[in-house]
Parts: sequence; structure tokens; C-alpha cells
Amino acid sequence: MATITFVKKDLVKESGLSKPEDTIPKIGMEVERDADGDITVDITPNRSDMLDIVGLARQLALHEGVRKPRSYEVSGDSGISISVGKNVGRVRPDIAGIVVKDVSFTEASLKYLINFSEKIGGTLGRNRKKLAMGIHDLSAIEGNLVYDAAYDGSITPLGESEDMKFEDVIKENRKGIAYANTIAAEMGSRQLYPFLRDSATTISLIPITNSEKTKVTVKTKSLFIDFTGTDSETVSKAADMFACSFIDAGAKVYSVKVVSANGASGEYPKLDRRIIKIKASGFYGVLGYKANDADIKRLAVRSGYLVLEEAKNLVSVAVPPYRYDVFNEQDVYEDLVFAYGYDSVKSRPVSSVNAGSETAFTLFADKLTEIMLGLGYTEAYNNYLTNENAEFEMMGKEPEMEKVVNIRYSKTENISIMRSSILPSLINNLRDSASEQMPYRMFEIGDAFSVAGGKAEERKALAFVSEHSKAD
Amino acid sequence: MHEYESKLLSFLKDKGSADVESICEGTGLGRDAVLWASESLKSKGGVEIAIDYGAEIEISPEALGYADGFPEQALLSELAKGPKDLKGNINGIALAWVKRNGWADIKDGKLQITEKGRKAIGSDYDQKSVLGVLLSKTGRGADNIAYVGNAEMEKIRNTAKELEHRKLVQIKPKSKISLISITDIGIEMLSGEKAGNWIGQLTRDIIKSRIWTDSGFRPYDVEAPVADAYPARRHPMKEFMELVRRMWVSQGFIETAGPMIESSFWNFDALFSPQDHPTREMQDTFFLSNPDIFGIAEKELLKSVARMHKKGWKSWNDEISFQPVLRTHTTSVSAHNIREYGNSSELEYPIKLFSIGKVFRNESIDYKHLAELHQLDGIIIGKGLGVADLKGTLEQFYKGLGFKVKFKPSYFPFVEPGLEASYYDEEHGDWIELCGGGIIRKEITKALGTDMRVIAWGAGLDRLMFKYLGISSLSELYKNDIGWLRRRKPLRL
Repeated sequence: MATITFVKKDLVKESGLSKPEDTIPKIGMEVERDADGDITVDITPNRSDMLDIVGLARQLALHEGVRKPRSYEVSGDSGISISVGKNVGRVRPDIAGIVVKDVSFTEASLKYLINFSEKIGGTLGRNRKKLAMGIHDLSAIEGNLVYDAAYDGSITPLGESEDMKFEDVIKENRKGIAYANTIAAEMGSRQLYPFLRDSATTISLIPITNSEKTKVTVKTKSLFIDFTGTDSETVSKAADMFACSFIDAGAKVYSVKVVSANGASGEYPKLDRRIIKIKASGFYGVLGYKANDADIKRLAVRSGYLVLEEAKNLVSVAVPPYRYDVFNEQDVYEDLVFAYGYDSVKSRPVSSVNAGSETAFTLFADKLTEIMLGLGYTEAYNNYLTNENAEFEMMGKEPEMEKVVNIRYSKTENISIMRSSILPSLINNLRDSASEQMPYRMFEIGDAFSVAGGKAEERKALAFVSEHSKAD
Repeated sequence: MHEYESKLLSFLKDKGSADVESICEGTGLGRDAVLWASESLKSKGGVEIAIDYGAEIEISPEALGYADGFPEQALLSELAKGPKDLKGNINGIALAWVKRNGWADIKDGKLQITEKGRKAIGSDYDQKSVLGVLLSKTGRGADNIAYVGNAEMEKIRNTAKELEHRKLVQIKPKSKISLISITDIGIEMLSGEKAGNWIGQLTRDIIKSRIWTDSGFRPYDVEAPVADAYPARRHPMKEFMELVRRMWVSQGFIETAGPMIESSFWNFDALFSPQDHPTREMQDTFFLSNPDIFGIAEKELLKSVARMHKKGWKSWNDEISFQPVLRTHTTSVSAHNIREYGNSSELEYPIKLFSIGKVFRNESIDYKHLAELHQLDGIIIGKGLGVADLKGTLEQFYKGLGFKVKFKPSYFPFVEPGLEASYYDEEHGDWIELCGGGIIRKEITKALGTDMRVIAWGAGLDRLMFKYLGISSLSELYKNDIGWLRRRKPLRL
């Protein structure tokens, strides 16, 4: 999950709701923190469109019925085209672009936009590898654009005053160091750098940094945004998401043409609407009963779907272009359930037709436990993750490492293997129990792990220890 | 009078008084027997017991190395030959103590002996002397514990404290019987009584033969201290898991189990988690280097899950699927269950299943994060199941644990729609998450080979122990200190 922080009064203004924090849980998100005038929200990974204040406010307002769904269209052709070169296809094949005009930024709204693109690149974009975007001042761009990759080149990165070679950017620039891995060449091949150029200069070393030349400030009135990555659908959807946000914020979006190396061309943003037919009976099926008080048309509207046509118990809805997680009617029903509200759903425990039962091992272990308790042994329960020292060295045993289940990487220092027997844990417990009244009697029933013939084996085991003056 | 008592009194009759050790030696009784007899006689006025409030001093292994001389003494004798450069190789402990003792000063970056230091050479060093005294008093065992009586302790207290400050010894107050003396009543008891006539322990023969009518019973002190008795107990987490298990079984659920070492296929892929999803990274999941591959034998199943991924996420790689992991949730068991019970001819639908077990997370461990946790997972497989059934089932279960739950929308990649159940915690004034659930995606049930509807939920168990057991840190639970296990609170549901 990604968390994002907004100034609360900005969210109030944007959504038109006086208490947006009460609606946030109803749309499936979580308020992580609500203090000092800020509100931090956990956004689930299926709804990256809400990582933007405009997108979150939109959904909140729709849910509460203070806003109605709308259609999203471009205002025209920007006249800008991007030609895709041959080299880039090998490393980062996909690009889309949009042009936005009549933008009016405040310090806050610019910050939200930059946060939105950072968060999308981090989550949906898998740390910019699958998707990243660059936001440029349109007025600084000269002529048409070329998207390609080269073995060398140079750029004046954002925040710098001098031209730098690409190879120096990934070694010295802060963003370069952070994202060099996204374009790292495979073993044995030379490093290729994806870039975007206008007719004069390199405006972006992708997906690392834009150029200082096209830097966006509060005064910027029009934007060009590039979306690049390794999955064409994600790239195109991201363009839609941003376009919808700008349209909702009152700006105008213009299309950008992309001409690929083989001559095929496409226009972005696509802003396609998927049309899905939903039925009242399908919705009832998800609830598990016929809910007479549920009006699927009204619920669809409150989820943000445009209702196109309706017959009795059958409604045709348009999925808004900012959604990339809705493919079929099941996906729509999920939104309808959220709009209907879990509080409204009936509660009905499932009756039993089979007898409940425990596993044979549970029953056996219960018997053993009863016997051990009867003998005066107290039950211990140790961790299954351990290390070579505790498992072998302390026991004076030579490890046979090929038989030991090994962890590849652990954040915790004293975890490296799975235990192969229970006894070392119990011996360790005796040591930690010093200065208690004797006798010490402990047992544990649990699992022990090993590898045989390349396969993991899980074994159930019982171990016990007894320490006192007469123990022999 | 008990046999031990009469032996003790007879011994003391000649001596007047003696310490415990010589009484043991003289009577042939064990230490416990002597202590018991003297306590018993004391309550009858037959003996007087003098107690010495001294100290028990444990000598550390480091101190044992100092028996022949302290490091500061060694440094002092070197300094006697001339000043030492501070940059040179000087033992830090020795340096600190020669300065503290006023034996040396630092001048111009050099350590120089003082007048006091010169005097100290060749004379006794109090710390060494006291250590010597303590060593002479240690018992036979290897535990290096010396008992120092009150009078002597007064003499050496300051120096002993210094040693304790240096962590060379550990001082604990300890009282000890110093002397047991016979009283006039004791002498009378001895002459007046025919020893051995009182009945100390009631047996079935004594009752049958009515011997007690002649001899009478030895009086006993109901307030005399006895050793604590601890019953053997279950581990609290196991006890809790047992309770949860019983609740599900009582509601008609069948318990199931699955492997902890799992393929990525069952832990992630079968549950529609995209192969490039961030939670699948090494930062969050324990991947294994031995074994390093976990193949899937059912090729058809592999193919149908691959198909689901290619359609939904546009990516698939068998090798990623075969990476072995420690399961990150018990939902992997539910995935196996959907496969196994999705087309059952033996059981009637709806089939209700659950599992409880360990799960593993590659976490940085602190008071509320552990690398090993416990989860329960439940599913119901059947026709016509919906959100209402899920709500009802969870409400019923949590009611049994004493929670009134509320539901809100949530997202998990394997369910649609998803929900989260939480309860209002009065103590924190906040809603606390109890479990997540939903209807298993159609893509998943189809890929796992069933047309049935599956409702599913999963819950963490460990954090409930904060509430039920009144602990402040989760790691306390798995230390297995026997004292903690003996005295822990009962589960408070």
C-alpha cells in the first residue's frame, strides 16, 4: 500500500465534503493519520488514481452523491508528435504523451501533482521500471520530439546548471544513482540510455531526470507529460489517469501523436470507455440474497460509472477512463457493494451440513500434550527460525548443511536456517530459565525441517527436557 | 516428638548450641531434615535459632583471573619504572583504576606515578585482599558463590561494593541460620518424652489399628512456609490456538493443514498476486537457498494458473512460480483446499474449512513485529454464497471471542469484493483490525478447477495476545522462561 498526505482543508475544498475522513473508509481506503491539519491516507494498489488529491476527492464526492459521473474528452490535437527510434524498443519500448493547457498551479497543487507522479512511479510503475512519467513546461519545448535510446549523450539534469554526460548522471546525480538499476544493461551488453529530445536538446534522461530547461514552476501555464515504460497498457492507462485529473481540475487536455519505428501511429490520451452490462441478479448473487432496497443504477452512479442505457434489471455502464482495475461485471459489483455499504448487507451464518472435525495430527498431539502435562512437563513453544550457532555449535553437533533448510536473506541477524530438531530450542530455554525453583520440566510438540533429495521435508516431533538434582 | 527432633535435641543437649553444618555431621541427618526439625522445635519453644543477615556474593569469571593481581597493580609496577606514553598500549581498565586510586596522573600526554602510587607498591591492595577473602569462602561447587556473614560484611562492605561496581562480583542479601541453641524447654522435652511415640504421618494402618488413641499426633504449624508448587501448564499461544480451533469445529468447520515451506506458486501465484508485486520481494518474504526450487507436479494446474496471470497481469514466468518460500499467510492452505474440495463427492456443500498455523515475514523485529506469526484462514465452498454469508460467519465467530465487529471495504488481490472486520478497542479508543476477507475471485476458483463460489477470510492471532495475556511485547511469548510460563496470567477472553 502507498500512503499519501494531504492538507485536510485542501481535501475538504476539493471534495466539497466537510468531513472527508468519515467517507474515506467507506470507499475502501484507510485514514492512517489525521492530525495537525494533515490527513494521511493508505491507498490500495488497485486504485492508483486516488494517489492524486483530485482523484481521491472525486471518488469521495461521488460516493456521497455530491458529484455526478462525467465523461472525459480531449479538447483537441496538440499538434505535437513523438517519433520513436529503433534502439529504445530493446530497453523501454512504450511511450505516451499528453499536453495540458490552462493550468493554474498553486504551491500546493504543484506539490500534489509531483507527489502523484512519484507515487505512481513507485507503486504501479514498480519503482519506475514498468512506468515513469516526466512533467515538462510545454512553452520550453521546441519543435517535435524524438524518443530513442543511445550509448551516450548529455543532459542538464533538473537542479543542475551544467551539461552532464549520461554516464556521469547515473553515477553522480542523486536521481541517477537511485534509478540507474531501472535501465541497467544485461550482462555482456552495453549500457543504453533511453532519452527524449526536442529539436534542440535532450529534455529527459528516462526514467531518471528531466532537463532543467523544461522545469515546471508555479508560473507554468501549459504542460507536456511523457509516460514511458515496459507495458503499453500501463503506460496508456497512466496517461488517461493524469488526463482525467487535469480535466476534473478544470484544465484542458490535448492529444499527442506517437509514431513508432515501424511507422504505426497512435494518439494519447486514449480516454476509452469500456462498456459493461450489469444485472440486478448478478449483484444479488454477490450479496448472497435478493436485496430489494438496492438500486443498481443509483449504486453505479455513486461508484463513478456513467449509466448509458437501462432496461428492467439490466444496466449498461461506462467505466471511467481513470480506472484500470475494472474489466468485467464482477469488478463493477465490487464497487456496487462498497456503494451499498457493508452495514446494509444482511448477516447470515452458513448452516452446517458436515460435521466439524480436527486433523488427525491435532488429535494425536492433544493426547501427547495431555500425557506430558500429566507427567509434570510444562509446554514450551519456540520459534522455528534459528541459526547455525544455536542449532549446531551450541549442541556440539557438526551440521550437514545440505540437509538444512537455508534462508536466502534475512533482515534479522540471528535468523539464517529453519530448525532441524526441537531439542536445541529447549536446551536454550533451560539456560534462560536460570534461578527458577527446580525441577525444570519442559516439552514441545512441533515441526522440524530438513532437505532430502532437493525437497523440503516437514516432520512433526516431540522433545522434552528435565533438569533437577535427581535427573539422570 | 519426631525422630529428627529427638536426634537434634540429644545432640544439642551436650553442646548447648551448634551451627547447621556441625549438627548435620554430628547427627547424620541431612540439611533439610535439620532445618525442618529446628523449625518444628522452635515453634514448640525447644530451640532458639539465631539468624545472620549476611550476603551471598557471586564471583565473576573475570574476577577469578584477578586472584593473583589486579590489572591496575600490574600497571603500577610498570609505572614505577618510568612514565608511560598514553598513545602506547595501556589496558583501559588498569588506566581507569590507577587514576581513580590516585596512583598516577596524566602530565604532557604521559602517565606518571604519584606519591600515593609509590606508597601503594608493596603494600596490600584492599580490592585484592577482599577478593582473596571471598575466594576462600566459596563452596565446593563450581558456582563461585561466597557466603559472608553480617559481621564480616560490615568490614568489607565498601570494598565489596567497589568490586560490584566493576562487575567483578554480584552481591545479594542472604540470611542464614548461624546458631541453633537448646532451651530449657528443649531439655525438658528430651527427658519427658519417649521419643518416637508421636504420630507424624497418618497412614492407613494407623487408622485401621487405632494406634493413634495411645500415642497422639505430633502438633504441626499450618503457617510454616512450604516450597511453591507449580502445575505443568500449556503454552499460552498453543492454548489460544486450541480454543480458536474448538470454536471453528463447533461451528461445523473441518480443520486442514498445509506445508510451511511452500512454492511461490501456492503462496502467491494461485492467489492471483502479480509476479512483479512488491510484497514478493526479498525485503518482505523469506526465500530459500536450500532447497532452491519447488516444482509443481500438476502441469494442467500450472498452465491454468499461468493463463490467469497472462490474462490479468500480462506476465508469467514458471521459474518465479517455482521459487520456494516460507509461507507468508495461511491463505496458501486455503488455495490448496479450493483445489482439493472444489469438486468433492464425499462431502456435501457448503463445505466449511479452516486452518491455523505459523506464517513467516521477513521483518525487522520489535515489540509488535515478529518474523514468525500465527494466522487462521477459513473458507466456505458452495453455491449461492455471498457477502451476507461471510458477514454472518465472521460475526458469529468473533462473538464467541467477545468482539462486536464492524465491516468496511478493503482490497486483497485474491478477493472481490474485499472487506475488513474490526472491533472498537475501548482502551485505545480506536478501531482495531481483526481479519480480512471476501469472495475469492472467479478467475482463481476457475483456475483451481471449481465452479463453486468460495468465501474466504484470514486473521492474525498474535496481536490478540496483547489483550488476552496482558503482555507488553510479543517476543515475551516465545522466550519460554519457565518462571514466566509458570506464573503467566490465564488467558482473559
